[in-house]
Amino acid sequence: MSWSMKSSRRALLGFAAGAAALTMMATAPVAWAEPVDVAAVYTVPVEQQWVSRIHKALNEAEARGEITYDYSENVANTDYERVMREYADAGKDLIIGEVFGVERAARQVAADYPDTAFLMGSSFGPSGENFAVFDNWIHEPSYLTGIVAGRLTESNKIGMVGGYPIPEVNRLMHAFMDGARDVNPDVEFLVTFIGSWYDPPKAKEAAFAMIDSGADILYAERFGVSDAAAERDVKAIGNVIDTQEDYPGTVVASALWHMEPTIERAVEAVANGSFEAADYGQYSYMSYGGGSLAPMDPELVPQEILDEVAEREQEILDGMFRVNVNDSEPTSGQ
Amino acid sequence: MRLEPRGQVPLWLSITTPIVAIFVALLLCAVPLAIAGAPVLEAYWLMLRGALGGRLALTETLARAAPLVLTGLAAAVAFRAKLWNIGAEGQLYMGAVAAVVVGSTAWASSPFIMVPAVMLAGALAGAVLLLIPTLLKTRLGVDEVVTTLLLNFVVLLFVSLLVEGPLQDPMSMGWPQSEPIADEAALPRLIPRTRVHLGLVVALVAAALVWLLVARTRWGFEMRAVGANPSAARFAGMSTGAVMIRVALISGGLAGLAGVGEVAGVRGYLTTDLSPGYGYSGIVVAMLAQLNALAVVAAALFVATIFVGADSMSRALGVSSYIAHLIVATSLLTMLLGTLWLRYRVHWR
Repeated sequence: MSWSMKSSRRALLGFAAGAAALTMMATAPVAWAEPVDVAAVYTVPVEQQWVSRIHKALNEAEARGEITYDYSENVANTDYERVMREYADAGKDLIIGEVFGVERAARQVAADYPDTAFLMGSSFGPSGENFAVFDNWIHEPSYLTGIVAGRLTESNKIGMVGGYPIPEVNRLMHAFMDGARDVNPDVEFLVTFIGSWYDPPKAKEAAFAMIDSGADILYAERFGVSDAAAERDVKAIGNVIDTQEDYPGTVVASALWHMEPTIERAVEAVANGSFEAADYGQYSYMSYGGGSLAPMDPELVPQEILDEVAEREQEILDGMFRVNVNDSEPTSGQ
Repeated sequence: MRLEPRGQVPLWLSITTPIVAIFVALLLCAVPLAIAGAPVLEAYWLMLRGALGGRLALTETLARAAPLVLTGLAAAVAFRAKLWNIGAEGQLYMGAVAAVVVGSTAWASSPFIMVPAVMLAGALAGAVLLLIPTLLKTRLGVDEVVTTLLLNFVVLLFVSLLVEGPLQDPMSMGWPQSEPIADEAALPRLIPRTRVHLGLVVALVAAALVWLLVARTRWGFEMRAVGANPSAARFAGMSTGAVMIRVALISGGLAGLAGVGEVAGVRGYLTTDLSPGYGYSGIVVAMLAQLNALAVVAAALFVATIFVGADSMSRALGVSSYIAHLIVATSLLTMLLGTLWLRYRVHWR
């Protein structure tokens, strides 16, 4: 919710600018003697939207010479622990991955290898001395896409298809819903979870059902939803990656996740020996450059909406507006 | 082409055939490896090292073999009596469900009570699941290949319902997973800092017991007789229905135990991705072992070695992990062809 304040606005702006300057200093390229030895373990192919963001950031860090980068993709949860142990055994400095399906086992591995740094996507907090966590905290750009959806809908019905009702999904959905409701109090939501992270036909069917009940904008949390939108000529909102080019005229806005700020900080901490079990979630916030709104097409989104979104975006960046964090499961009719 | 059964298989042939089969598989897989830009010989050396070289590699291969021994035995026992149990995957999951139901609260303070209880519950659940299609077969003549296979999907949906409903862990933050197995019910790890757990011992003991049962007891004789010729067995005064039910209880129980090991020994809680197809791989293991219970252990170790080794090699060389799957599949095919070659003489005409 926005803070209503006038007198202290200038002071806060000054503070925000100072903080931004400090941040820039902290992320200025640091040359260390040897590249950090990084390995990543992914449960899905690196093309998958969520993982692709981590892969991209690590590839860039390798190109800059800051790290050496090995990875294993499509690792089944049954094999996850082994791959973690293999990399730890091989003497990697930093192991990155996603432990949503193996939270307990992964923490045990970290405890067994105290000299290795672990940075893992997780629903839980950091643990031990060397197990840090991150997640895609892009509720801020999600809120902004909600404004676009709330303004563009004509039927005042927005459909949302998600994977599982877990915190990181619920959070983005609620932020999106808040954004839509703040500009259009009459808007209604239809919510379905398909019970899978990757099942495009199922996601598509759920989306068709929503379009049949009157939804004219779809929140595409999963692959398949934008296809349904394109087929039935309604609009869609993207999540994590920019799909506007893949679905021209269908996807009108996308909330993007950037893993670079998180990776830069973790790698630097490992390089100078200061890595500790911390929550890196905040580095996915817009103020750190961890989240952003993909550029929108003025042909699809009218200028006054673009202006409205840009204004709110600036408020978020300036710390003048805070997007609510709500991890509870969203339901239809909310 | 005509196949003629061999009477007696010479010893040199039964020793050289598997070696030739592996060699052929590695030769075939050299092509995709070379295309992927990997040095072929180094790749196979890394594969061997990845599966057997060192503590972590060796224990991972053993941990992988444990469930395969149990599902392999489940298939071998059933196929021996010509009960075509394709449903070990579903029985494994039912075993895991029972283990979680019994073992997620510490109702007894001693692992000496809880671990056996969890195992018993898992074995019972697997046995009961196979009993349904077996009774349908003996009473109504329903084809068990179809029913056991389709039950796998029913069970998976049932597990999905459980982990998103009554069994869901309230602390899982919405993730579809059950409450964790209590520490008192968890299968102890045999070697610290590895994944080798008590399930491996259970699997080896089970293999010895099944071998004794089939080869040395009256029950085993009846099983083999019913499998070889049901009419003759009935004429000799055996109750084929009773034999089938007995076989089903043993087979389903073994598969259920595999599920107990995975949930109480490895993962710690139930999810819908607990098994990477151990139930189906068990069929291949049983076929490789020609339904011999002791050979099942060797076959399971073979499959686990190839899998863990190829997986590690693909990582070490940076080639696609799909090549690892290709090597596993090719080795299984050539080995199966090898066993066929052992049993039959081929006449080209």
